[in-house]
Amino acid sequence: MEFEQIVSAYKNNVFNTCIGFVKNLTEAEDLAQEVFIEVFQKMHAFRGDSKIETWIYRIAVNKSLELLRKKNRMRRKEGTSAVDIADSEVPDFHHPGVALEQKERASILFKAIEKLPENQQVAFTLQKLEGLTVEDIGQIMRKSASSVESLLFRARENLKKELKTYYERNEVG
Amino acid sequence: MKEMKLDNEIEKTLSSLDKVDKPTLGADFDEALLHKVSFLPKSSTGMNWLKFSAAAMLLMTLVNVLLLVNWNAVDSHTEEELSSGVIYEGIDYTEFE
Repeated sequence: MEFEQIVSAYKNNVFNTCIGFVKNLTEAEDLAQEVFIEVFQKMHAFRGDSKIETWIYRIAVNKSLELLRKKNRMRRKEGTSAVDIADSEVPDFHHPGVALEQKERASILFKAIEKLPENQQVAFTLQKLEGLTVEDIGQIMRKSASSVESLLFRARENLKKELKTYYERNEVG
Repeated sequence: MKEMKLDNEIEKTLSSLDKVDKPTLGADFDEALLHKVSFLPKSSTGMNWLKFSAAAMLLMTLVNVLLLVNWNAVDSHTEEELSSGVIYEGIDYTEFE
């Protein structure tokens, strides 16, 4: 497969994955560029042990997490705490692919996802935004399908707790 | 009743990302990427071979140097033994004198 073909086949998947993590369209596009530059530089060394899309997704996830860690380090340096889902301020990220009537709920959910441990965040984002199977997620994360299932279960439980706190503070109904 | 409403709200929020359309990138993304990539070395395979060759040559040089050092040590030792007339490896050199 030629590089140009790889880019046109996977660019939207990579972009969507990056959006899910960094929650900023410009940053996600820049990250997607970086992902494909790495693909270009390493494609000759790619041995084909896994599917090419698995490899590309793995690069996208790693690059996104690197950026998030860098941002968190900077936030800590500046003394700013992580965003609190229970804050009454309206969450501001609107994913361009979410239907209009779901936009507010989706942005609340995005804020809650940010509070999950990294592994749970990766598994949940790949399942929800990319619609990947447990097996595919397992290959990307180098984990067994049962480990991914357990990560997804814990992610859901933690999100429920987080959302409950949010709605109780913002009084539903 | 309130608890049920809350659970319902949580479930709705949890499934708000169930049907997300994938945003698409335009052709300008490809153009910008291919432009960046054009400044990078075409293939890393050649570079890898070059690195491996350099490493192999370095290793060979190191082995040769070690062999030479060892040889010199053995040589000087043998000369010492010969000049003192000591029997070396079963041969009595004094009998030739």
